[in-house]
Amino acid sequence: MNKDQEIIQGFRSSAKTMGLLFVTIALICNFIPAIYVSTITGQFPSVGQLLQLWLAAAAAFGVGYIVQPVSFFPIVNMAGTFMCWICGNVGEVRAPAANMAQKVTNCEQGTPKAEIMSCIGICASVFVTVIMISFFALVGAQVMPLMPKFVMKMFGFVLPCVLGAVYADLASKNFVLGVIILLSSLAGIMIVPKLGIPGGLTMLINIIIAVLIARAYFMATNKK
Amino acid sequence: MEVKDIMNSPMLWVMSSFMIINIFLMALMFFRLCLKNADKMGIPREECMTGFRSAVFTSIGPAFAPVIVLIALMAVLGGPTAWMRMNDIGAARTELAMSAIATGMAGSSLEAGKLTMLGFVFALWGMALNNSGWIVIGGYGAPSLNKAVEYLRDNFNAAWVKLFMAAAALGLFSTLLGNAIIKKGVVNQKNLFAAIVSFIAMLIIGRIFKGNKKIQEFSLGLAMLVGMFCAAMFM
Repeated sequence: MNKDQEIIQGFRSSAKTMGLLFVTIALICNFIPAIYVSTITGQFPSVGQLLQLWLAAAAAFGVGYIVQPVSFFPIVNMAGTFMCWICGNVGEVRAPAANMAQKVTNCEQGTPKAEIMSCIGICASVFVTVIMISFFALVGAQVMPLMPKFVMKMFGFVLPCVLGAVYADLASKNFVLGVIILLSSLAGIMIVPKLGIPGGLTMLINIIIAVLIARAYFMATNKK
Repeated sequence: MEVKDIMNSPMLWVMSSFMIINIFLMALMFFRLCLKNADKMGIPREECMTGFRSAVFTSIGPAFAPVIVLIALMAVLGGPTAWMRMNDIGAARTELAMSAIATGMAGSSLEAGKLTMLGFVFALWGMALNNSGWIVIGGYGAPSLNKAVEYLRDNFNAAWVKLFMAAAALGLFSTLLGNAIIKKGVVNQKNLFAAIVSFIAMLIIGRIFKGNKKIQEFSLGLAMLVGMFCAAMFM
């Protein structure tokens, strides 16, 4: 066990070096198309306009910049976090993939093996999405209309289905807690926006409530 | 030069490809790093590949979500931009909302035929600025988040930290699930039905085929398919 801890420290420090490098490259790549189009058309937004754009973005999504990486961290760990916040689709693709990779290899949450497996799962999901999105970007416009209507209708339900299945898997480890937290989160989604709190904060509030519920549950079950 | 010509120009495909190459290389390097460290820990290669296969199969279904938006986004902002933005960070509705805000600021609109060159330029800058929020905070913040988790592990009761992490994950996924079912305070019954079927299917697969490793590898994908099929069939 101690040897594993040592190895995982080494893994983390390599992941950190690599991650920071790729994050920096991604940050540059992120602006290349905008700079290119502005250069060939000669239409550059002014500094004031850029600031205005940035403010609009931050106002609409700024809460997410902080809340989302923090929320997903326990599931995807550090190496996964680097990839997730460049590649996106974290809730619906990355986290389920990480979760399944851990599950089939019988990992216990929080162990070094679980950390490696979740990273393997996220890498696998990145390969899949890059290949699929690139394929459909090249030929998709022609292929999509050929899909049967029933299949298209099925795809309309991708999100509730993947999240329903993931939740079943997470909750099966502790069913009572899973059900209580699900109910509290559903209540949160209904109530929080009505209190005038920005919608982006609902996730954070629900997580805090979930942790408080778990604390109460922990106190109650440990005393017995 | 017309905006339509630039939107789908070969050079813009090239300019947009850097991000995707970077993403692919990153996953490849991390995958190698994982395998190397798994070897050191004595985790058999076969086990790593089992995890890998399962994650691949699990991702194929949900990956259709960005693919469908890709097709929609291609019509509005052109192939290269849609390709790049669906591969990198930013959910479908985020990208659409951001480009709508940005084009509106340029006095243009995303509606077909109404997008001006300045509107397109603003959309590109707007999405780049918005995405850098996640890249900067998520990317550069990852090491500090790791420190916070290590601090938790070192200073608190191990059983509690485990429960804490599990509860945080439950809180997160119940919110995501809730958002997929409840739209603007109203329960979408079709989505609710789909989620319940997948939920039950996953539990059943987990119980009945507990010992069958091959089926467990595909369980999430299977549960999803069952839910999607039933919802499309009965709703």
